[in-house]
Amino acid sequence: MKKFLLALSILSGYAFSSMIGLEALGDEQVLGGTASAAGRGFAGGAKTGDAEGLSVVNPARLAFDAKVVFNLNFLMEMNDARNGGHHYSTSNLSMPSFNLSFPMGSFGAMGLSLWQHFSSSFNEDSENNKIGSNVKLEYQGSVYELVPTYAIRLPFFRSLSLGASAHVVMGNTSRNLTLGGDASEIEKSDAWATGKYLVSDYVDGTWEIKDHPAYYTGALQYRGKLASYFLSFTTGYTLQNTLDYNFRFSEIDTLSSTRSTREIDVPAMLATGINYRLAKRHNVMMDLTWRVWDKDIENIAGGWNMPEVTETQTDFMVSLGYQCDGSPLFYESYWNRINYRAGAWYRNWYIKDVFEVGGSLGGGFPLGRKGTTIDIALQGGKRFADTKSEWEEMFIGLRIGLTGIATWGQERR
Amino acid sequence: MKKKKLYFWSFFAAIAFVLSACIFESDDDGLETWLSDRGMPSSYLVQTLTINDIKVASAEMHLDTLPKSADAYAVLGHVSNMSHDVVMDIGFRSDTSFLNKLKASDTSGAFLGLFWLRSLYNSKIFPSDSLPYEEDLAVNISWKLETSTNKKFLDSIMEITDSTWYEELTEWEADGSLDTVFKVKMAKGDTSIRLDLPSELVKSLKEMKGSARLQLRLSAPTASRIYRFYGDATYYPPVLGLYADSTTYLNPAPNPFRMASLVKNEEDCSDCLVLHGGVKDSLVVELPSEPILEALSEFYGDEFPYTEGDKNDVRQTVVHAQITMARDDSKGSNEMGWPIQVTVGSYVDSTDRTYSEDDDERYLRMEMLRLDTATILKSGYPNLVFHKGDSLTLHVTFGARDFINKASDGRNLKFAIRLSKPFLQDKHTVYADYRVNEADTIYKADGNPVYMTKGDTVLKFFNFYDYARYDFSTAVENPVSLKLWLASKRGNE
Repeated sequence: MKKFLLALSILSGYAFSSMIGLEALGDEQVLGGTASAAGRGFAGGAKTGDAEGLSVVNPARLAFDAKVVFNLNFLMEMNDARNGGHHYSTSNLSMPSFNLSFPMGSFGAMGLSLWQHFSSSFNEDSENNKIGSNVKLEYQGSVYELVPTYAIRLPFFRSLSLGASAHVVMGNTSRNLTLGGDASEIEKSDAWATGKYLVSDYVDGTWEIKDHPAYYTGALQYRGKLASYFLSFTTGYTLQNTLDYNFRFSEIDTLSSTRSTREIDVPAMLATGINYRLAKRHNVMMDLTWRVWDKDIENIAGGWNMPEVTETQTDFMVSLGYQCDGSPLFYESYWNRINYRAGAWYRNWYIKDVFEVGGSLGGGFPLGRKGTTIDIALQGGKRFADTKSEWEEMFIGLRIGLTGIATWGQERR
Repeated sequence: MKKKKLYFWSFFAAIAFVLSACIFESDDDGLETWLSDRGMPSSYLVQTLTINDIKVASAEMHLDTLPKSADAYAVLGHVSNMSHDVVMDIGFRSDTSFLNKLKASDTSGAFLGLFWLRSLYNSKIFPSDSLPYEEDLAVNISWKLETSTNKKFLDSIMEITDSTWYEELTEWEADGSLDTVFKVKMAKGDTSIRLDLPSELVKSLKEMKGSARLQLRLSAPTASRIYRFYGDATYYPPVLGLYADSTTYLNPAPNPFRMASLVKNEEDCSDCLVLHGGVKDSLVVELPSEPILEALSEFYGDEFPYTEGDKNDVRQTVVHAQITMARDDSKGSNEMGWPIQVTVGSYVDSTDRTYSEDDDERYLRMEMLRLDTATILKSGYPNLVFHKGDSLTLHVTFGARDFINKASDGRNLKFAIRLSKPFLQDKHTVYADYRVNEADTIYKADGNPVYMTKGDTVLKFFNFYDYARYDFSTAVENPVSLKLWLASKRGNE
């Protein structure tokens, strides 16, 4: 494990993140960004099993789990943004979610997830004397959600389950644009006062839901012998971001900041999915999420020639996946015990004229006999952007999920 | 098996990295182009705005006359229309045998030994033509004497805090006093002076039993200059010599355990705009807001002051600001002949001290000096008085930032100026003390040469104040100009 963590920390240095939507909400980690879901193209919301774990989109699925699941996910993503022959690469390491679920037999199942729903992470600088630039730009933003979940199978119709979850929103966001002076428009004799003086345009603030403690998801799941389905509805909500904005000369030397609040109306989301068992251990699946944005998103801070808002569009995601379940028997060959996954997706971002096409390969690798698993997903694709302010991106990413599976509180059989 | 897996993933990670390094690389100007496409700058554009002919809205003198510590060095005399008194607080216990001898003696007496501030007078760069001093110095000696046989008497005196004692000194009611004249003769290298104390004081001391507290005040308001000597917290504290005869002294000789200096303003007018060196006075100047805001409004084409939302204006900021005032050195006088730096502090908001229409509680933040190298090399530092030129330029960046940021509440650009120490490197851009690597003759700001041996330190400021006097009425009565270096976050309209 130590070696694994070491390799992870080394890899994190090479990781890249999206440069799209930084002024709005940032990148959305769909389905909790779990490595297992990512491996099958973010499909599989309807796939049930002993230890599928918690789904933030389909809380009803949890009712079919039989084992306690603890799941921690990491994402390393590399992006190359391009536009008109120019390109720029960035990197990031993030932890999209942490999930814990406890099946309680006939009392249903409970779960808790800490989900980094939206994130913007960017820290780049450049000093180029040829073009007179001296800039450092940093975004650090996370809309975290704490998602308590409860699901139960109907006593009179055990193939059907109901689930509900509340999403308590928290987190903060900041943008720090530090600039050196450009003395090209002043007299040479006045240039001494600018020197290498740095000024930071700084804004930071916190996230919460307006006038409400949380937003909610309700779901219905049917598990059939061959086909399983789910349908979920997530309520709309208004994200409230209280921002303090000022100029900084150092961290302890600033102007009096001006406070403002931006409100982002996140629309309700419909999600559905199907999982079909082709043959023993072979599953194909398809998921769809749908959210109609009808209001633009006010950007974190204006200034210079930046647009005041990020225009939105209907965001939806269609994902197709395949999973070959590994054998649960520890004495089988190791290759047979691995979960093999593959998938592809098309996603319309919430940002107007931005869409994404991606594919993934993944695997769930059992470690030892005690139920610990490492899920790996390698993903890649392209984000197309037909807007003035966003560049298209190629991305590849590595997701790693550490999953512990146990049978706490259940008698051995 | 575990090792195999580790090798597999290590290999996988390495391949992924190599591939990504080939595919994912940035252009030299990639970030700048991306920023530009998003309407973001890659540097802040600096613009200057000069606002001329601003008439000072108000100028007020403030002098802090509360007694101050003289533990390090004391000043006695009169200079620049200010008189400087010194008070010593001396506590001592005397043995019975000495007291008996003192009472019985006809040749008893007391004197005060003061040690000249040799680090000043013997300094290599102290003006060579200043010494010797010769004067019949008229001194008023007054005293307060308390005696007690209580063993804890001296402890109780020591428990009186310095600040309480300074406060008490503002209402000085002496037990006795005497005007006397001392012949002062001080040449370079002299160490001390003996001031014989009045026989009335000795008479009172003869009556003491047990312990005594003697508070001794020296005033010389008609002196032709000031005299500086070491304070009690030095290796050369003043000494009270009390003797029964030429061989019988109170031993050890008492020293003061604290000292205070008191100043008195003897300017003809209480409201004249005169600053003095070495004392705690300041000139607080306010500029009117209207011409500055009007100029900004014209410059940017926006409304000033900013009145939207919480009214804090963060549309632009001041990178640097300086104010230029007229200067007439002929209305001032100084002791050492060197230029004196004018320091400036601006009134700005802090967390708990802010401006309101009823009460301006902004705190005074000292401004940072930025070096205009070309000007310094050509004509010296622009913030000096007693220096060539007829203008004084002061940096008020923090003040201008605060003012423009919060102008909507009606505040003005307000700053305070004071006379600092003599400035020795008037055309040197190092702006720091530095050591010379080889013997050299350097020229002080007054043009006089000083021979420096290898390893000597060339000072930025002289270590001691010049008790100078400078009249700022010319600076305040004439229009001033304010120059702003601005960074704005406005876009190209």
